Amino acid sequence: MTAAGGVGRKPAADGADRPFRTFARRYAQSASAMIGLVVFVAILLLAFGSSWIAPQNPYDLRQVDLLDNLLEPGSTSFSGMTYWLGTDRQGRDMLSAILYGLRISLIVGGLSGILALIVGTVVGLVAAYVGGRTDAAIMRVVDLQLSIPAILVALILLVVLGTGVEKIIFALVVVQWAYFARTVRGVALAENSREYMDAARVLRLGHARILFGHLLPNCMPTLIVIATVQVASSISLEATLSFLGLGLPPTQPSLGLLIANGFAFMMSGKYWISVFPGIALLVTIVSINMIGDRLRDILNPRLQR
Amino acid sequence: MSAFILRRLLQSLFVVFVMTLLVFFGVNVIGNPVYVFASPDCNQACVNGIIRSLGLDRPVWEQYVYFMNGAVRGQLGNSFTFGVPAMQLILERLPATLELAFASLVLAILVGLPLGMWAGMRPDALSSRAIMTVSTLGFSVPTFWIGLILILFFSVHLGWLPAVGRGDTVSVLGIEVSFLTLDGLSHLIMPAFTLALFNTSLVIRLARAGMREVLYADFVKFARSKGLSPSRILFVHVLKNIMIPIVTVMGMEFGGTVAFAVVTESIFSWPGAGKMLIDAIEVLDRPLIVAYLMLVVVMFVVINLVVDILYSLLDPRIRFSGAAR
Repeated sequence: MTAAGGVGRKPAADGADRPFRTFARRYAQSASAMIGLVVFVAILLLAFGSSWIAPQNPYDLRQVDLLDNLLEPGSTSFSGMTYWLGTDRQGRDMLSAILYGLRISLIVGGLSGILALIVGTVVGLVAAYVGGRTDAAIMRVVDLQLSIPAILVALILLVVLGTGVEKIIFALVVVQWAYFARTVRGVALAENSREYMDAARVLRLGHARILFGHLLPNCMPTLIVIATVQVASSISLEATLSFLGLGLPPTQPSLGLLIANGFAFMMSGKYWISVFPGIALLVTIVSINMIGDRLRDILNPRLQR
Repeated sequence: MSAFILRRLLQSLFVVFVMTLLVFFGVNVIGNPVYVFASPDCNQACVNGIIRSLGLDRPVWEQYVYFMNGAVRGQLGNSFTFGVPAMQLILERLPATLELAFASLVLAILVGLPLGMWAGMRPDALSSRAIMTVSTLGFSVPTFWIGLILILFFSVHLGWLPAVGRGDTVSVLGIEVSFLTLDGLSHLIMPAFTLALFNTSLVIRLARAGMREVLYADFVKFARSKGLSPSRILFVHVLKNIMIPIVTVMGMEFGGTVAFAVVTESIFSWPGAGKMLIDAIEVLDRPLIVAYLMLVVVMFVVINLVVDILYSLLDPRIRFSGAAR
């Protein structure tokens, strides 16, 4: 689903291929990276299997009992169900709500990361390959975009667009594409002067083939690393925006919205509604970063940040 | 030199122009503020009256011209909810935001600098690696949740620190500040710390990188061979040199910190401009939203402009690479 997961599992899938086997072996040398990978895969399974794993569907009103609202973690309902992480104001099981919320957070973070990667990569490759005025113009736009903080751009866009899954994904792509474009351009410029690129040009291959068949694969290591980091940060940004009530609508509660809902009850000591979704968010982001750190060590690209 | 400044100035004006277009048209396309003001028993005549009084019956471009006309004179219309000039409201709230942002930058340097220097001196020590892990987390972990946990622990559980508001303020040169009273300081510490998390991580990184570089510089070797005490070398010669990039980056981060204060202010109900923005978005108070966004955008553009010009004064290479474009 997310770039990080795809990358992490790739070595196993292509085990017969030598480079990937070497890659997998090097990845496995780091204990913390393996923990990160295991935790992240577990989170993916839990989130995307939430319809089957979760004790209840928290958004199916027939399964939710309003009388069970604001129960402490470990309480038992009349129907004999145990709420391991407590319930919220509507009597929803927090564990189920977190699993469903996790799925939305991962979809939004992953999709926006991948879309930003595609847009940024194409723009960055074209800028580096064409050069000249096109390059200068594109890079001015990139510089401009990067000079304004992500949260402000996202705020403006969401105020303008309103809430919704597709809107927040759009906002996150707008915020992130420039990172990819700048990094890809930097790598591509260096690759562009290598001999294999000259060879490709001498062979009179088409521009598209040179760009995507020759230049792009050699930029991949760098791309994979920033994509991992960006997915984590876009999950975090989405949570922040949803917490402010600007991201996802209440009908599609991500982890950020769950935390926001619980905030009102925190002052009266009902900590579980905010704390547990937050821990889920934290574990997700940290596990992605652990994977990203190891990928960076192995692939060792020239990172800007 | 003047050509460079002129070109940057024109670019900045262009950015501001594009942002006014985006913000104004964007904000004016969504929602209908009439329904916020019309009471349920309001008939058509009453609705029309509201529309006229808010200027909503004019074409959008005419509203924009009217808006820009006012904007250059610092008037961005009256707030729908408060009925007073939006800019005045934002400016009233701005000192609180600036105080919070400034306090968080100071805190980031006070905490981040020693930690980063330590990690730079002993890069392989366990403590240094712990520091670097924490700084990685500071970049990626959603800080608003850390703010909630702080409230839960220090306000709800221990009851040591207040979770809401600014506390007692003192007037200094006509501006209300919190940090000079004990009560204000106790209100300031948690929001400032939450807002500082990202910048602290940044300072740790910069300080560590600076230490690694400066410790092997010739002037440090020279100072050592001259027989200066290690503490003097560290706190006078080394510190001075690693502070340069840190102060620069913190200056550039100031605008971002003000923008991110929106989140922190919402959590701690800090009565600043950011909290006002979120409240305004909830009731679609357009002039207020536009005024806030314009102010922050202009602030940004000005900071970037000043940084660029200062840089080009200090480092002529930037000027010439700019000319090549």
